[in-house]
Parts: sequence; structure tokens; C-alpha cells
Amino acid sequence: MAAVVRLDRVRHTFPGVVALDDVELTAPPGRLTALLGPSGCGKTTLLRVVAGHLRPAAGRVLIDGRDATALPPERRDIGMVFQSYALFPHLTVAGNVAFGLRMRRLPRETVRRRVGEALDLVGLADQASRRPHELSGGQRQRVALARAVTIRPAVLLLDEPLSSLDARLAVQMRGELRRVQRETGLTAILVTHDQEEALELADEIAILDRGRVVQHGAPQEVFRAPATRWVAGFLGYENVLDLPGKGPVAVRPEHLGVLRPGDEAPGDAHVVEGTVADVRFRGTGYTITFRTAEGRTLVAVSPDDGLAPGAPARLYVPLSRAVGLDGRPT
Amino acid sequence: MTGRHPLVGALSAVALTFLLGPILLVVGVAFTAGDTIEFPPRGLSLRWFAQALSYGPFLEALRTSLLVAMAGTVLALALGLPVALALGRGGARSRGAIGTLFTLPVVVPELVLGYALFQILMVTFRVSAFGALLAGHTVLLLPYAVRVTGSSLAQADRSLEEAARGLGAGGWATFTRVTLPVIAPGVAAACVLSLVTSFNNVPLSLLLNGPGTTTLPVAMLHHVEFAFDPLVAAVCTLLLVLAVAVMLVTERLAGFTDVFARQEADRWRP
Amino acid sequence: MWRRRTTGLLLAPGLAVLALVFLYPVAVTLVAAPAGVDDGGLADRLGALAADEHIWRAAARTVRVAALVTALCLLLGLPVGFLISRSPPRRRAVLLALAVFPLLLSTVVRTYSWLVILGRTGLLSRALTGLGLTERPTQLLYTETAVVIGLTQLFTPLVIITAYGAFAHVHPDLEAAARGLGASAGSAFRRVALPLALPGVLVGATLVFAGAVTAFTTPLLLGGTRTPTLATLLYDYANVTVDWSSAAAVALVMTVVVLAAGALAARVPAKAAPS
Repeated sequence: MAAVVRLDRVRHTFPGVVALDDVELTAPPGRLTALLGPSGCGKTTLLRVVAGHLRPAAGRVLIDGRDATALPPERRDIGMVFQSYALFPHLTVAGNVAFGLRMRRLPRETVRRRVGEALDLVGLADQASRRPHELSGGQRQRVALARAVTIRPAVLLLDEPLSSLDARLAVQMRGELRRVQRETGLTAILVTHDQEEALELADEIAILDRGRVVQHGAPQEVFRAPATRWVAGFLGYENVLDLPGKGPVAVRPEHLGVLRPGDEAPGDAHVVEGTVADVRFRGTGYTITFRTAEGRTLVAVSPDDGLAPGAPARLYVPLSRAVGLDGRPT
Repeated sequence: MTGRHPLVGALSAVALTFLLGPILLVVGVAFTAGDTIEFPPRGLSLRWFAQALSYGPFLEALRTSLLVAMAGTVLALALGLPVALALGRGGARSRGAIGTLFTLPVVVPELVLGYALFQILMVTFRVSAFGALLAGHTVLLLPYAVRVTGSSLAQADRSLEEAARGLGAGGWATFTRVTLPVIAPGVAAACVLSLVTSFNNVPLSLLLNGPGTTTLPVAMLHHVEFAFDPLVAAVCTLLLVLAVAVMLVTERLAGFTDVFARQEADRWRP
Repeated sequence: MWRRRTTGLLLAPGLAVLALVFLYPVAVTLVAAPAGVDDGGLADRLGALAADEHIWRAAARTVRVAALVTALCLLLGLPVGFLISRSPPRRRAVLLALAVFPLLLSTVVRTYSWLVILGRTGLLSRALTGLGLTERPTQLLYTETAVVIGLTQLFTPLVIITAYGAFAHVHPDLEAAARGLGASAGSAFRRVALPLALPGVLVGATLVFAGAVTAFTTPLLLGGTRTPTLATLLYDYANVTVDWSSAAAVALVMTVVVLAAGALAARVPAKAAPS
């Protein structure tokens, strides 16, 4: 059932913008591939091309090896969860979930059974006769998911499915989304701008920048070894500094250590001298901004303050956490 | 709050009285027992209502009015909804220009349109008076049909239609099962607006006049021109009741003030 | 997104009807001569126009009346629109419904009431006699004043609606801020609310002006034959004296005046609106 989706040199332009720049990408069967990138990077355009709502200017969309580029959306066998959920306001929850099954002209009894199964899967069996506007955000999200998987599609597309939920619920729904994808065993493509969401949910991550896939791999691999300076910055490697013998490296704020007077840096670390420029409370700790002797600005996260702006301070960079930037394209 | 300023309240009271007072006055006149238009009425009776409801020319005109209004509305929607769909969802490159074209019939003075249709359709091409009347009303209602259903379409979430397509619905199934139900309030609003606009129209109906094609407002106009009895006051009162009913129904369907306020105000915005 | 063919098929019937029943007849009537009618087209029409001082007198009256009506409608409609925009939701709905309601009624119905009020035996005439202000019944009907009164009542709702829409977009906090900075209620309105609402109000004014220029029923009933406007004159030429050339000339003048007003409405707000 699970299908491979392959994009073959897919290109699309909007007036004045190259939205997709010869994209090559394979989403392996039964796995969840996340398309991660900032807004405007082309990830939603890519998803719409796969779904068939947008015909690319060039290139091919292959679903299980078959060329689907010219197929209209209704013949692609794709389930999609929209950012706005796109629940039909005039139909009940059951009516929404049944829609795709009715379009396939399945017998009434089959439709009833499969709607029941889908609602059980997302835990909404008791809400079947409600209308979308009577549901909470999280419930709507589940209905949208049930509607997309109940047609047993070849591919499940998720367009920023959690971005309309408040932060706490979104985190909770990640688990739900992962469970449904695992249980159904569907090939899934998730579009998101939230790196944490992508890292937690995906089997594979493809990072998009200005219409190009700039890195594709397992979450750990992408996170630990950003392929370009841009990816490093996008993934939160905010601090760039020169290390003797290693050249320019990037470090995440939470990996920079703050040394108190008299403290010794761990063995495999490089020490940087500077002054405190700013200290901000952020709940679980403090965000501290430093100015180094060479004039660079570094940001670190520290659990306690004890530092005041203007005070001299020493930082250390664990060498294992520093990502070397030499040789990486911008 | 400046809205609470006494001057604003006073001026508004004057304006609303000026706006609605005369209309209510007609109701009083309609209940007169006398033979002339007079306020306060001379004695109370329902005789003018009885007479209005049995007055042949008015009844026949009412029938014509309703027929033209309903047929015109159906035609305008049948032509206008596809246009709105094409403009709102199609890939036409010249959408702006075509959209503007369809607003023109409201911008050209109705009397000019009526005169043009009289000359070209009736005189030159010998179209029957009823045919010309229906054609004229249809073309007059077309802009409303296109605009009202169009704004409904513009407000509808496009991803609803994409979702339907993705779930296996073809173009027609998507239209009947998703698009149409979603824009139903807009279609209802377009219907009400078209019916009212057609039913109340005078210039077109007056110029495209022929045997058996006199509409109610035109019949009333002719009556007022030659007779000074309260018959028309009784008809006005009945129409007032009808208008209240339309207002209540529209409020239910799509929000009365939305439908009428927005459309009148948007006439000049292509 | 459909293919171009579907879009074309959807547009075709509407465009065909529009072309046959609107564009062609109006274009022919305004600028060319219809077949079988003894008329030299635009040249003759302009000739008729230049020679016919009735048309010029009616045009002057029409523009004068329309300008006066526009001013009166603004005077009456602006306060109501503002009041509605600053009312709590329930009262706003009721007031708006009251203001919009007359639009549901035919102009014949709305104009008829003025016959009751302005006629020789009407309410106003008898009130004037009763108060001893006039000795004999006064005929207020069939005057320009009667037309102005009738049209003002007809079009005030348009100003109310557009003014309401425009004022509703001006956040009340802006006036509150002006008051806090020392402006009186009056000057907060004049210096803050009104300038910001002006583009919308201008649209309303244009609607009224264009409506008043083309209004037909009201000038016919309240102005009679002694005070012809462009609209009643057009009707007269078309239906009574059957003078094609003159009728078409009047139609041309009327259309030009209305389109000019419309073009103005389309341009002014775009320039005046704060970006």
C-alpha cells in the first residue's frame, strides 16, 4: 500500500520568483519525510505539486514509479491535511470523513464501518454528528486527519498541520500524528517551519531554501552536521567564531558554557574571553549576550545569572559541539 | 465617546424621521374612508385595501412583475454564477477587464438602457415587449448575481475545494457537493437582491412596455398620474408589509443589512 | 484551477447575453444610428444637442438638483452613519436595518408619500394655512424643491450605509486619543474621524450624485412636466414626441455625466485613502 513519491527535476515559478528550482526528492515508502524551511522557501508549493493542485512548469511527479504529473488531484489517491483543515462546514464530522469514501462509490455499509474505524483511530467516535464549527481546534485537526487516512491513500500529505494550534496542544498532537502515521503505515510528507516538530516527527528531513533542497537526511544527521552555513543558522547554530586550527565554527547557544571566576574549562573545550553585554530572564534560565575581544557577539543560555552587563566573563566551546564551517557552501 | 454627543443624536433623529415618517404616513392614508389622499384620514375603513386586491389592472401587473422578477432572477443567476466561478476560480488572464464589463449594466443609467433596448430589441429586431422586458431585467440583474456570488466565492476557503478534489471528487461533484453548499448564503442573497431590484424597477419596465407587460410599479405610476384616490396608498401599505417580510427572511438567510447595505455601497467598485 | 477551456465555457453564455442585450444596443443607441431609423448618428446627435436649449436647461437643472440633493443627503446621512458606527451591536443592527429598509421599497412607493405631504390639499399646505402663515392652499408639488426633497429622502440611505462603513473602519480609540490630547468631541470628529472616513464618504456622495442625475420616477411624480430633468426629458422624447435623435442626445449627456461621476469616485478614494 505504501508508495514511493519521487520528484524529478520539478520546477515552478510564480511571477518574479522561482518557487521550485529543479527539485529532486524521494520520500521512501511507509516513512515520514519532513520538508523543513522558512516561509517562502517553496515547501507548500512542493506539497501542492505532489497533491496535484498545482501543475509544475517542468519536471515529473512519480508515485510508485508511475508518472502522475498530468493526473488531476482526484485521481492521485492522496490524502491531505490542510493547514486550515478545510473541513466542509455544511457536513458533520462523519459526513466529512465519509466524503472520500462516497466519492469512491463504496457500499453504504462499508462507508459506515470505515468512518467508524477512522473516528476510533483519532478518538472522536462520540463526536460523529457534530459540525466542524462546534469542535475545538485539536478536534478539527483529528477530523482532518481521519478524513485523509480513511480513503487509505497511497500518500499522506500534511501541510503545517499543527501550526493553527496553541503551543501546548501542538506538542501533544505531535504524538498523535506520529501514532496515526505508524499505525496506518502510510508514506507521509510533512511540511513545517518548526524544526523541533520536524526533528521529533520525521524519519527523514529535507531542508528547503529558496526553492532548492539543500540537505536531505536523517534528523540526527541533519541536526549534527548542517550541510551549509545557511542550514546551520536556520537550525539554531547562532554563534559563529574562529577556533585556532579549526577555522570558523558554529555553536548553538545552549552548548556555550559560562565559566565562573576560578572555574576550569573541560579538557576538550576552547575558552573565549569577553564582556557581558546583556542579560535577559527567560523563565528556565537566562539568555546572556557577550562581546568577545575580537568584536564578535555570542549568545549563551545559562541556568543562573550572577552576571551583570559590563562584567568580564569567560566562555567555553566544547569542541565536539562546534560545527566546522570551512568548506561548507553558504 | 463622540457618538454620544447630543448633536449627533438630534441630527440622527431628524434624519430618520425624514426617512421613515413619510412612508408611515402612507399607511395612515390607506386606511381612510374618504375618496381622496388625505392625512389624517377621514374616518377609518379597509375599503381601499378591498378595492386594491380586486383591481384587475393591478392584479395583472402584479402577476407580470412576479413573473419577470422570478424569470429574470433565474436567468441572471444561471448566467452569472458560471461567470463568478470563472472569474473567481478559473485561470482567465483578463479577469479584471471581464469583471469590470459585468459591472457596466449598473453604471449606465437604467433609462438609457431601457431606451436602447426599446430601440434595438423592440423597434429594430421586433422582439416582443415581454421578451425585451425579460432581457432587460436579466441584464440589469446580471451584475448583482456576478458580484454577490463572486464575493461569496472569494470568502470561501479555496482549500475546501482542493480537499474535495484530493478525496476523489471531480470538478462537477466538487461544485455540487462543496462549492455550492458553502456559497449557498451568497446565492440566496443574490436571489433576494435580484428579486427586489427587478420587482421595484421603473425605468426599464416603463420603456419596455407593451400589451400585457405592465409591471406593478408602472401600473401604480400611471394610476397616480391620472387619479387622486388612495388606491395606491393601500397598495403601498401592502408592499410595505411584503418588504418587512422580505427583510425578516433575508435576515435569516444571509443577514439583511449585509446583503443590501454592502451591495448598494459597492456598486461603483469593480 | 481549471483548464482554459472550462473557464471559456463558463464565461461564454454570460458574455454573449451581455454583448447582445447590453453592449451592442447601448453602443448603437449612444454613438451610431440604428438601422431603419432616420438618423445620421453621432453627428446629428451632437447637432441636435447644440441646437436644443431644452436639453441644456434640463441638464443644468439636473446637475443643480443632484448637487443640492448630494449636499442634503450628506447633512442628514453623516450623523446617522456615525451614530450607527459608534452604537453597541444590538442597537447598531436595529438602526442599520431602519436605515437600509427603505431600499427594499420601490421608488414609486417612496415618492408617493410626498404627494400626500406636498399636494395642494396635503399635510404641509394645510398646516401652513392652519397656522395662518398662508391664506390659500399652497401648491408645493411640481417644483424643483419638491424634486429635491423627494430625491433627498430617496438617497439618504446610501450616505448612511457608506458613512457607517467608513466610520466603522476608524477605530474609536483614535477619537479617544484625540480627546485625551485635549480635543473637544466636536474637533475630535472634525480633525480625526471625518478625515479618515472621507474616502468612503466620497464614494457615498458620488453614488447619490449619480443616482440623482439618473433618477426618473421622483422627478416625474414630483416635478411634473414643468420642471423636466434629463431623465424625464429622455422619457418624453422617447415615448411622447418620439424624437429619436433628441432622445439619444439626452441619453448621451446623461451617460457622460454619470460615467464622469463614477470615474471620479473610482479615483478620489484611491488617492485620499491612507495607505
